[in-house]
Amino acid sequence: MKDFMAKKSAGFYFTIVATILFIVGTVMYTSVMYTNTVVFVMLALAIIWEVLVIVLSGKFGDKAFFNWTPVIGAVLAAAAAVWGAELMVNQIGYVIAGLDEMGTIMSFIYYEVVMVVTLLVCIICSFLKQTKDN
Amino acid sequence: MKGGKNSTGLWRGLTAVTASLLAVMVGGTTIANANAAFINTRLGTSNYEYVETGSGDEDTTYFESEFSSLSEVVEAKSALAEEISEEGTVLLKNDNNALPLNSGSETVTLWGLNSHNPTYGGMIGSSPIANAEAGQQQYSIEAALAEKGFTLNQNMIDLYSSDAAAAYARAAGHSLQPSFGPIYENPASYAVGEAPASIYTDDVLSSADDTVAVVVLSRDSSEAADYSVNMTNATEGDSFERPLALSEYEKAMIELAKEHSTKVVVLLNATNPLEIGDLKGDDEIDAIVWAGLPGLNGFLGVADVLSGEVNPSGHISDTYASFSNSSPAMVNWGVYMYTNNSQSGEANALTAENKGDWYVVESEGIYTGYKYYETRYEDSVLGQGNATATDGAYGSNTWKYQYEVVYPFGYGLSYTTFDQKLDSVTCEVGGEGTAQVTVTNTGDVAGKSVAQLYVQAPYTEGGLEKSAIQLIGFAKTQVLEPGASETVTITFDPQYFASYDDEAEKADGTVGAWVLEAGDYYFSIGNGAHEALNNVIAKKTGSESGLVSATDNEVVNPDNAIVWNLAETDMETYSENVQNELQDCDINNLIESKVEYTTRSDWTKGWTPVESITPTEAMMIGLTNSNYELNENGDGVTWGADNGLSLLDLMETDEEGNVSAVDLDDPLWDQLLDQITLDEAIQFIEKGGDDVENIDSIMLTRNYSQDGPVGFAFDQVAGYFVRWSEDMADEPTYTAESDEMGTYSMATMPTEPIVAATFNKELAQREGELFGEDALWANISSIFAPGVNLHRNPYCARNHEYYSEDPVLTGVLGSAVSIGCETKGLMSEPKHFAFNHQESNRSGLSTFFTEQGARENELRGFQMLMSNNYCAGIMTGFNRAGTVFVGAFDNLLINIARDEWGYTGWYNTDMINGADYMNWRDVTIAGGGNCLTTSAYDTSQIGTMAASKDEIEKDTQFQEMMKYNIKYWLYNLVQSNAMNGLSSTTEVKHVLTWYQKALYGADAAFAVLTVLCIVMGVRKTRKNQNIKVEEV
Repeated sequence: MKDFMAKKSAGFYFTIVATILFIVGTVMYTSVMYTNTVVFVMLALAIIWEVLVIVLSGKFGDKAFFNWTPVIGAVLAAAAAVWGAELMVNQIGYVIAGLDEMGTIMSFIYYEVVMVVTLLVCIICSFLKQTKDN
Repeated sequence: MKGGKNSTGLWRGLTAVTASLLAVMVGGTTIANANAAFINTRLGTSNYEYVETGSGDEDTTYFESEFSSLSEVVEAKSALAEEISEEGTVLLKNDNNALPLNSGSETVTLWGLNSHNPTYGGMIGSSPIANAEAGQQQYSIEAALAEKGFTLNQNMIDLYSSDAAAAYARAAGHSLQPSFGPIYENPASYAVGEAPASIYTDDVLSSADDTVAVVVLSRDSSEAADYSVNMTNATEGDSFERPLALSEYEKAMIELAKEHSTKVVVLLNATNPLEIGDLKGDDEIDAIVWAGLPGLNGFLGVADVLSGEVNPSGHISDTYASFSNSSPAMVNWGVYMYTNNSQSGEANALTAENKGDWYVVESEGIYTGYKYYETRYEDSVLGQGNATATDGAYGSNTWKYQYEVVYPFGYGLSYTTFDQKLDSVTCEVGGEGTAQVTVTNTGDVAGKSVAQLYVQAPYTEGGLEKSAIQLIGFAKTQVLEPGASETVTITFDPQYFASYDDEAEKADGTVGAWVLEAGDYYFSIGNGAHEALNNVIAKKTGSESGLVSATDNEVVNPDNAIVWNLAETDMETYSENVQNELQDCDINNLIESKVEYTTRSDWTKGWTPVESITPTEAMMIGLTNSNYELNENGDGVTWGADNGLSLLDLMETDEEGNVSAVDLDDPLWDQLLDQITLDEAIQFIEKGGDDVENIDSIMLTRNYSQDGPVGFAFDQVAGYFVRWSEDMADEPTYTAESDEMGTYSMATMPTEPIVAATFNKELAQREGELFGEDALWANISSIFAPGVNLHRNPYCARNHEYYSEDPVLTGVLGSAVSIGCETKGLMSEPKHFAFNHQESNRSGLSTFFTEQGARENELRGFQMLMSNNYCAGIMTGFNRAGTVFVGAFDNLLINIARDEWGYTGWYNTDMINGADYMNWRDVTIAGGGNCLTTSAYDTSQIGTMAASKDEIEKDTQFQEMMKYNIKYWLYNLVQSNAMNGLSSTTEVKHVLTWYQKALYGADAAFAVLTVLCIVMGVRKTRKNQNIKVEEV
C-alpha cells in the first residue's frame, strides 16, 4: 500500500475526490423530485470508472494513456449534470412562476452544485498526472 | 522535456474542458429541442414556414378584424372594461341620497389601507396586469377618482404610503397563499391588510373632517386558494371571527371615518360576499357600493357611478348572507381525507401518486345560494318543513329570513326609481317561453333597469326537491329618460326550470328524467329573487301576511306574478337520451346512509358534516386510477393514408363569407383522419397544451391556446407579438414586438362576477368579440374562458373566475361571451367541466353530490353553452366526480354531453397535475380529448404516450378513440381563425430556429475542438514517448 501510494501524483488524489463526489452526487440525486434512469446509469458508470482508475492505477499508472482517464469522468459528470435537469425543467418553471415552492427544487439544486464541483475536479484532474513516473 | 510533458497535460485538460462542454451542449440541445414549442412561444420563433405554392390570389382571411390597428383594439377594450364596470357596479344602500357625489364640490377621503392597495383581480388566475414599462395604464381607486375629477385628501394617501402603514399592507393587494400541491390542513390564516387606528394622527383625522369618506373593504381572490371559516387574521394585532367578516381594524377604521366625515360610502372591493349586515343597519353608513375586482380600467367605471356620470344598474350575482358560513353548502367545506389516505400509514393506504386522499360531500343537494335561503324562507312563511327550526339558524334562536340574509341574489339600486310590470308570459313545453315586461322610469335620473324573470314550480311537501324560486331569464333596458318606458321581451327555455328526478322511470324503461310536474307555475319579476318570491307568495296565498322584506326598497306586488298551469306531468319532452349517469357520485349509493342531505321536507336535516369516509373496494378502483389497460384487440386502424385532403377541404363558407364545417357525419372526415399518422396523433393528444400541435399530413398548422376569463394571461403570453413569427408578417393583423402596444398585456377586463352583475348579454357578447379581436392580433386560436362553475359558497377564493351562484345567469352570460368569441374565429373553451367548487386539493378531490343537484345547478350552465354548441371546446376539471377523474369520466363527457346534449366541441384537460391520475390512457379512452402537458408524462409511472406506441398499435379500440377525440378538434379548428392565411395551395416547410442553429453550431464547434485537443494531446504524448525512448 505504501508503495502503491508513494508513486501517486496529485491527479490520483483528485481522482479519489471525484469518486467520492460521484457517490455523494448519486445519493443526492435519489432525493430529486423527478429522476431519470439514464442519469443513474451515467453516475453508476462514472463511479465504476473512477474506482477502476484507482484500482488499475497500480498496474497501468505509469502508462501515458492512463492520464487521460479523468477526461471520461469529466464527460460523465457533465452529462449527468445536464441530463439531470431534463425532467426538472417544468418544475423549475413552476417555481419561477410562483406556482410551487422553492423547496421542491432544492434537492435538485444541491445535486447540480455537487455535479458542477465534480466536473471541475475531473477537469483539474485531467490537467494533472496520475503517477509520478508518468 | 518538462515543457513537453506539461503541454501534454495542458491538451488533456483542454480535452476534458471541450469534451465536457460538448456533453453539456449536446444535452442542452436535446432538452431545448424537446421544449422547442415552449421556447418558440416565448421567443416568437417557429419551426414552420408556410409557403404559398399557388397564385396567391385566394382570399385566406376567413376571420377579419373590425379594426385597422392594434391601438384601436386596445382602446375599444379599455372603453368596454370601463362600461362593464359602470354597469356591473352595484348600489346596495343609498340613504339620504348620499350618492351620487359632487366631484366638483365634495372632496373625498379614501379610507382603509386597502384603498391604497386594492385588489384588481386574482392573485393567480384572471390576474389583470398592465405592462407599465410599455406605457400601459392601470387605474387604482385613487387614480380613477382623480381621473374623473374628484379631489382627494392627499394627507390620507400619504399616510397609507408611509412606512407606518407599510407594515400592515398586503403585497400588491393579495395575501392569500395559493398552493398547487396537496394540503392536509385547512388554510390557517389570512391577512386582511388593514392598519390599526393608532396610525391615524390628529392632523390626518382633522384633514378628513369636511370630506366624504369612501371606505374601501377588500378581500383578494386566487386560483389554488380557498378561505376557511377558522382562519385567523395574519395582520399583526388584528382579528376577525371569520375571514369574510369585518376585522377589528376595519371596524375601528370605519368608526373613525364616521366620526371624521360628512358622509360615509363603503366600497366593497371583493368577489366573496362580506358580512355587512351591521353596515346595512348602521344609520351612519350612508351608502354601500359593490365594485368587485374590476381589472385595469374598472375603477374608472366605479368612479363614474360614484359621480353620477353613470346611473348604477348592476345587481349582485350572489346572496349576501348575514353569516358567510350559514348555508348548507358550508356544512361540508374544506379538507377532508379518506381514512386510508397516503399519510395514514394504513395497510391499504393510497399513494401520493394516486392523488386520491381527499373528498368533499356536497350535502346541500339543490339548495345552493339563494335556492336555500329563499326556499327556506317560503317554507317559514307557509309553516312547512320545520323551516323555523334552530338548525341552521345563525341570526337568532329560530330561523328567520331577515336575520339570515342581508341582500338577496339579484338585488341592486339605482339613482332613480323604476316601475316594472309583468305584462304577459307565454310558455310552451318543448318550445320557447316569452315574457313581456314594461319598465318605466318613475324618477328624475336617466338610467337602465334589469327585468329579472323568476319561476316557481309546484312543490309537494315530501316530494321532489324544488327550489321555491329560480331565475329563468332577464333583459336590460336601454337608458330610459325620466318618464320614459320600454317593454322588454325575455325569452326562456322551459327545460331550464324542469326538475331532475333520478327515480323517474320513463316509457322506454330507463330511469332518470327531466320532469315538469303538473300544477301551477308562478312567473314573477322583482328586484332580486326575494322580491320576486314575495310576489309569488302573495299571489298564491292571496295575502301578504308573514312576508318579510330584505330591504326597505322592496315592494310586494302580486300582480307581478302570473300563473301558468301545466295540466299533466311531463317527463318525456326533455328526457330524450336522458337517464341516470351520476348515481355513483352520490356517496349514499356507495356507502349506505353516509350523508343526510338537505331536504325541504325537513330543514333540520343536512347540518352534519361527513368527516370520515373509508373507501369501499369499488371506490378504491377509481381512487387508485386502476382503469384502462392497453390490450390487443381488433383489426387495426388506418393511419398515414394518402387521400390527398387537407383540413381546409372540410371548411365551408356561405355567400356572406360565414365559415362552417362539413357535417360531422360526412365520410370525408374519416378520409381526412385516415391521413394522420399515429405519431402525429400521439403528439397531438399528448402535447395538447398552450400549443395545439400541428398535423402536417392534413395541413393543420400549429396554433395556440391561452388562459383566461379576463383576457389572455400576461404571465403566459407577454404581449400581442409573442405568438407571431416573422414569416407571418404579411398577415393583416401581424404584430411585431416593436409595434406600438405590441407588448401590452391583454389581461385587462373586469372579473366575471362584475360581468354577471351587469345582467347585460350584449356587453358579455361584446367582451367575447373583443377577446376574439385580441386573438386575431395576437395569433391565438383558443381561450380558456369563460369560467362557468358555480359559486357553491362564499369561501372558494376562485369565485372571481366564475359568474354566480345561479346556473341560468351563468349559462346565459357564458353563452354570450362564447358567441362573441366565435364571431371572430376564436374558439372559446369554458371551464372547468365539472364540479370544481373548491381549490384545496382540487387535483384528485372526490366530489360527491346528488344527481339532481348536479344537473339542476352545476351542469345547467354548461348545458346551455354545450347543447347549443356556442363553445368550440371545453376544459375539464382537476377533480373527480365521485371517485372518477372528470377528464376521464365518459358518463359525463360522452353520455351526458354528447348523447344527451349533442355537444360537438372538443375536450382538453387542465394542466397535468398528477400524471398518473390525469393519465392519457383514461383520458383518451373516455373521450376526454387532449392532455394539457408538455412533459409531465415523462416523470409518470405510466410513461409517455409516445413510449407506448407499440402497445397502442395493437389496441384498435384505443386508436379509434384517439380518432374520435381528434375529429371534434378538427371539426372546430377548421371553423376557427387557425385557418387564416391558409389556402388550398399552402405548404409547410420545416425550418430550424436561430437558437437551434446556434446550438447545433456550438455542438459542432465543441466537437471539432474536442477532436483537435485529443489529436494534439495524443501527438504530444507520442512525441514525449519517442523522446523518452531516445533518451533511454
